[in-house]
Amino acid sequence: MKGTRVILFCCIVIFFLAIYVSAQHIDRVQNNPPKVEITTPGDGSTFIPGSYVRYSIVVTDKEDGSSEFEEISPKEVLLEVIYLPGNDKLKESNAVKEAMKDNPPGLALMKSSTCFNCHMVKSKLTGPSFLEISRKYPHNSATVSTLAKKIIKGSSGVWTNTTMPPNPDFTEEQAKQMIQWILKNAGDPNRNFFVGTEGNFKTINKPASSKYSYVLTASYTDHGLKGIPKSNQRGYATTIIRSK
Amino acid sequence: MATVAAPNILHADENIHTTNPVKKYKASKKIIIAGGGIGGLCCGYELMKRGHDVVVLEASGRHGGHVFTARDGLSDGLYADFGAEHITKPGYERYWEYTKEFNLEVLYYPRRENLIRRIDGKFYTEEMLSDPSVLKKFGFNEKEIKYLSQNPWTEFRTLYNQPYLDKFTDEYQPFGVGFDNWDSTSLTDLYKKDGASSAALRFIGSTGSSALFELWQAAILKLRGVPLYPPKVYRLKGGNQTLPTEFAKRLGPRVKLNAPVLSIQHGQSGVTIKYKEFNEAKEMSADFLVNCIPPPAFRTIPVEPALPAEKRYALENLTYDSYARLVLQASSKFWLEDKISINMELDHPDIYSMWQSADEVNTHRVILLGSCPGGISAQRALAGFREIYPGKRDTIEFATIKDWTKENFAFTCERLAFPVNELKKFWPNIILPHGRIYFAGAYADNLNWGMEAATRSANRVANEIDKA
Repeated sequence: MKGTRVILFCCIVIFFLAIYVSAQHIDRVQNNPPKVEITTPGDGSTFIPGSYVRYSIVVTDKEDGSSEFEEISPKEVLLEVIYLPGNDKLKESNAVKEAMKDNPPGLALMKSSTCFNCHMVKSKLTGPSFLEISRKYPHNSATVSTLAKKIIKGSSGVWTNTTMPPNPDFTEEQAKQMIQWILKNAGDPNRNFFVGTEGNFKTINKPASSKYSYVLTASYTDHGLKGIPKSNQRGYATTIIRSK
Repeated sequence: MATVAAPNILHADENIHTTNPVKKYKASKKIIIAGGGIGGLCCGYELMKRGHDVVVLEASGRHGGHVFTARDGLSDGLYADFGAEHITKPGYERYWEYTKEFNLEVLYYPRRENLIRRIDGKFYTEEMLSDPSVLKKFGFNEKEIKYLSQNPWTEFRTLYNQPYLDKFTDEYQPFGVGFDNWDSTSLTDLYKKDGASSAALRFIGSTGSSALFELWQAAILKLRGVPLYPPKVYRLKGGNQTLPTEFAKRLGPRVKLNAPVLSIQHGQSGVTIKYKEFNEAKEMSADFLVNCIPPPAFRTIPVEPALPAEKRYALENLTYDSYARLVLQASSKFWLEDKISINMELDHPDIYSMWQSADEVNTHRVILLGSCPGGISAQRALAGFREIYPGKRDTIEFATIKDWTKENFAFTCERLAFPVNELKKFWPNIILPHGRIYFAGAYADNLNWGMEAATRSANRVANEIDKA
């Protein structure tokens, strides 16, 4: 009788020990979200309309490392700049709320791929800007299919003689999501996107009487944990700057 | 900073053919050079020789830019040029002068000998591409077959360019020779008008580039006495980076690394820039600024007041290509066993070309270089090569890649042809100074032949500033 009780007691101890150990294990394999910080410009700071605003972003992630130590590639750090006319607090807070949302799938794919090595949203790099692309083609499903094929199979001779390499690792669905994002966002005059941890953008030149602001959202999506798909987490920071 | 040239530099100057003797008694000027690639270093060196106070600011941690020789990861003292590949003779006059001035050893580079070309999945030797029966199968017309059976495949365009080239007499002046209206015609349309077959247009046509631009470029080569695709090319022993390193050595602490220019303010009497040094924001003023940063990277630096609209257009719209350099190390010349030339032009989407380099290094191992599109991994490019290599086996033991598209600062390679109707917008705007800002570098010359364009434009600007 006594022996059975000891065995039962042992079983219970082992059971709880097992739970404790596995809980520890789960804790250990959990991916930590990245911390994103816009170091300049300061939140609530002002600028002279028409001047350049210099920005810098610092990203730290427990698993991926730090952008300051170049463990995080600047090409994976995105800054979205939204222009808001008037000192409209409601619009500003809406834009800040929007920053919380995960990136649309098309943009998320582009950030994690090599797209931004050769393309910028509004200006030419090695490849045409996404704005030029969104202006060249009609915004319909045929365009989405044609351009998605170009992403997967590569393309040349449309803009310049430079070849765009094939990206065979994308599915057609993924490529379509990227094109959809480009067609929807690249032409928006009130939004701009920059890749990198530092740089600058020119503010709109307006008379001092018409106040306006920009909401800056910096974001980084980490690489998650090896072997655990979809464990990626996105970190972000926002800053509002206003015209003088 | 020292404004008097050191004695060895004066001595060096006596050996160099230059139209501008050193002006020893003139007040020296302070010049900031943005960008420490071969153009920036050369310009800094030339201005220093003329007695001026220069500082070269390079954003990255090494100077030399696209002239980049790497040894990391390679065995037996082998090396690879990640960027600028070769020079020609004639064609690189300035460059050859510097090799003499600095006593650099130049090696013949047989990368264009026995070139084999893969077209539609099939390899062709030079002999095959001059065989009328092979040419006929491509669908060329009589005139084209005759020309190609007597001339190299790589000179194909000359068949149609030839009648126009003699009109150009000044290699810096494409206008006013009677073809101005052909800027609105594409090269393809010009060749079509002159009876090119559709097969020829496939190989030598270009719907994207201006006919006037292409004729002018061909005329520049003719004026320099070089074929369109010079079969004999050369490189520096130990790697092409030797030349920028020689400039930098002479410039000494005037070259600041990890010092990106953040913004430029300019006026009638000078320039003031913000830049970073040891991660600290600093400011510097000078009489002149020379931009030796490729325009796609220069665009991200604010210039105030803004440059004139024509200048901005040229800087903002100049297009470039950018690619990746594949470096393969093999344990033997495996292609010899297969009796195949390793000098290849390929039509594989992951790899465009292949050739041998660093062959003077005393080892049985060999270095092969290739060009690939950006975004391709070394292993994918190698797989592409293996997929189409026509021999039995290779002995490649190591592969690495330099993807220029992923560079932070120098992410472009060569300037591309100017599109239809754009020559007037780019030329000569792209090379003209504005106020106290001058423009030099591989982009700021008539031809996009990188190292020569960089040294030529650097000398042009050094002379202009010296005289200003």
